[in-house]
Amino acid sequence: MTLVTFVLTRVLPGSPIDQIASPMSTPAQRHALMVHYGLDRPLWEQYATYILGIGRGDLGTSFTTSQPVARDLERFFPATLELTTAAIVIATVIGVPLGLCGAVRRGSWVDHLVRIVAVVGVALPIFWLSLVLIYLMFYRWHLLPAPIGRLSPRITPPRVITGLLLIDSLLGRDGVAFADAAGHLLLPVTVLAFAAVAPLARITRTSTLDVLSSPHVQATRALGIPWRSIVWKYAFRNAMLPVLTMLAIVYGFLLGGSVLVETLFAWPGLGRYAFNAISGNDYPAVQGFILYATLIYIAIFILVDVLYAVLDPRVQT
Amino acid sequence: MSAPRGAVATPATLPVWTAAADAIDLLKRNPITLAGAAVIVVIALVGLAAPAIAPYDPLTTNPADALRPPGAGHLMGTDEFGEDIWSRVLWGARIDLAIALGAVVVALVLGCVIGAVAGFWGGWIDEVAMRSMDVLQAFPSFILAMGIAAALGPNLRNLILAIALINVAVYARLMRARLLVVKHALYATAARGAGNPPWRVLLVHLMPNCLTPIFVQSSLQSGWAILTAAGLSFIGLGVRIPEPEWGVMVAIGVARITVGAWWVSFYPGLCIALAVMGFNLIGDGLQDLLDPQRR
Repeated sequence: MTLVTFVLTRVLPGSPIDQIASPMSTPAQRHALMVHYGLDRPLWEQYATYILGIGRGDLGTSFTTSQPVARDLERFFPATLELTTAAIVIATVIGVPLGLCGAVRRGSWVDHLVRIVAVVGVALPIFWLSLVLIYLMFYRWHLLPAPIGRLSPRITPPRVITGLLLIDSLLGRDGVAFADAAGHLLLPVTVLAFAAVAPLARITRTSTLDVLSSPHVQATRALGIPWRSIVWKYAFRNAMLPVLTMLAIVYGFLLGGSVLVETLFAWPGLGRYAFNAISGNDYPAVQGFILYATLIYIAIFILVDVLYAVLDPRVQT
Repeated sequence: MSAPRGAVATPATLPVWTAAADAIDLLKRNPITLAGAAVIVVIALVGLAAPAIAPYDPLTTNPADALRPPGAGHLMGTDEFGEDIWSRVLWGARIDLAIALGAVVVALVLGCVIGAVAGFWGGWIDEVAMRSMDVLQAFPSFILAMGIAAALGPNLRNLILAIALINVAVYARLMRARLLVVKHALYATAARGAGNPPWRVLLVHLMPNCLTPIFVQSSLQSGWAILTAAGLSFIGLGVRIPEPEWGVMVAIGVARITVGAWWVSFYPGLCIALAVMGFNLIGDGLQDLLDPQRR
């Protein structure tokens, strides 16, 4: 995996030296910079140095911010974590009950709603939805603050405890900062959540339908157990297993989506960092981001596997 | 050629043809799928006819006419360079469908070959191929596409390649799974017994019988390819300004949205949504057709 990201970024067109060195610099100065960053050595040697560094938690130094990439990523991570977590929580709270209702009352208006949401939700490009909402909520109706960053400039940020502004402002009992942070979060979170609701509602519906028609549920029905307790006691837990996997997949999708949304909302998170790094040929930063996002993604899948073992007695470790 | 066609339970006629016949039947019964197909057909026709029906050249700038709201003369208004958005939207149909088609075909061919080889020969080939697919799928897909597109350099061909590469694993898995099922079917054994070399059994007798789920997947992937292509172009990693690609056109409007020029981004984005919806509806319809339990 590290090899893939490494090779990917090294073949990036354009040299990072063009970004660091001033246009006036002499070839000798440029060569000195190459040596300084180790770019004159053969690729395999650069890769070996990089891998050894990762072992020590060192992802290299960003060419543009001149900071260690690991520290940059750490600094930008809370903003993205807050955004994606809020989005996935909201999407789950809306999507799962929606899919459940659709499956339990098949053919009702809820069911049709689920099908429409599933089709529309995955089709709307999130960057476009962001723009439409910015236009309506900010320009037209003046309902929300300017779509720039996580807090308005006049608000004093709460003391950093978790890095998540909503939680930090609550811990510091700062109602003003909380309201402002929530106002800034609202649009980007809505956009991401909207895109995430569709797959969640859809998988919940399909998997609940599957479970409801399975032999063990049919058997409980034949035994005369009330429908309500069949759904909640017997079907729900089984139906949630595929939903868990989908949650992990959707989280990966949100990490990708955060690049688009953060760029649009000037959100100081990982996505915007990656966008800037790509535009600036900043290899270590791009590598670091891809690696970091993938590790988060894999960590979430491992978490889901563990939950599977807890929820499904058939999975034995 | 000597496979006993009539004697086996699995029909050895190309399933593609039965699938096509079924699809027509499905369209008659399912108005939503029909609507999806109609949207795609219209977009394809518009894309083909763009040079004839676009009132303006998509790349001609006209500073005097910049940022005109939709109205007479400019159906969807103009962007900040004075380019006619309606004309650009029409041309965009051509580019975006080409991207979808290109990405899906490349991914399908690569994926099918990898999956077929892995499933047919098994052993270490299977291990290596499938573990590589695992690595590909360990990345969040949009982020991997970003990495590939950035590495190859932003242009149309590389954009198609990047989107294709992240989808290869999907096709490879589908093909391998189907192939493992049909590999030991009677007609395959018969074909082998009749003296066909392995590659011929694979190519002529087995692979055609694995294609149906792959075609369904292709329809869903086409919509997804358009979405990814537009997203990558939007952040500058795909097709570049001033090309009339829908994602690029949305990007051009970003700076103007907070001063009220909504039309620059709105119409191209709407087209992306329509195209993706069209492909997804077709895909859903085909999936229902294949799997009656899902209805």
